[in-house]
Amino acid sequence: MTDEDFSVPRPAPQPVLPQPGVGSHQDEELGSSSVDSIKILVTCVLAWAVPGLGHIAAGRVGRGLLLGCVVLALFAGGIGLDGKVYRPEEGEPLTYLAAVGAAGVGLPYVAAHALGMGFGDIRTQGYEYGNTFTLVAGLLNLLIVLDAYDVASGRR
Amino acid sequence: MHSHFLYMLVFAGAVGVVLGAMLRSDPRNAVRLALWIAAGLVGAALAIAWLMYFISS
Repeated sequence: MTDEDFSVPRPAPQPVLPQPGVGSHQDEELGSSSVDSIKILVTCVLAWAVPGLGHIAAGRVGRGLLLGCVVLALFAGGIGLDGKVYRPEEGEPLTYLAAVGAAGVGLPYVAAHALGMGFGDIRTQGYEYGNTFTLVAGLLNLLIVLDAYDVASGRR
Repeated sequence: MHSHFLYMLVFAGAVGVVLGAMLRSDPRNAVRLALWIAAGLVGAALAIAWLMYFISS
């Protein structure tokens, strides 16, 4: 959490143009470009799989821990409130959208289904709150993945 | 014991912290934005609830 303030506008990074007649430099640039692409892809996958891990991998440890703790606490709180973790249900088109949103939280979504949790109990008072918590945890993590992409690609 | 208002505060706080941490890097600005977002969510919910009270009656 010691990096620069985003609110201050900064110039966009200039693309590196290839120089004619310098083949070895072009190869090096292509090589480093593919390495960067892989690094960005890995960061995004980590950010999706475990909330906050993408930022930690990109060197923003404090921010990653904060984001990860909040999202995981929100998801766990939703399950604790007897909310359901949305899954696609045949004949219910909106559950497909909700499932995509909830699956944004990554491996905890998979773990919740694998462990038989997240079916919810509609009779409890916390059911609707729990649904909202688990769904919003997934949606927030999707935003965190986009932020991790920006961090890994050097835009922030 | 279930407190609906507490659930709303937790939800607003969590959303505020995540958005504040993502949109501001300076800790002081991030805290300020998180508080604004949380207060905005809670305030909007209370305002809508107040309006719905009149609609229901």
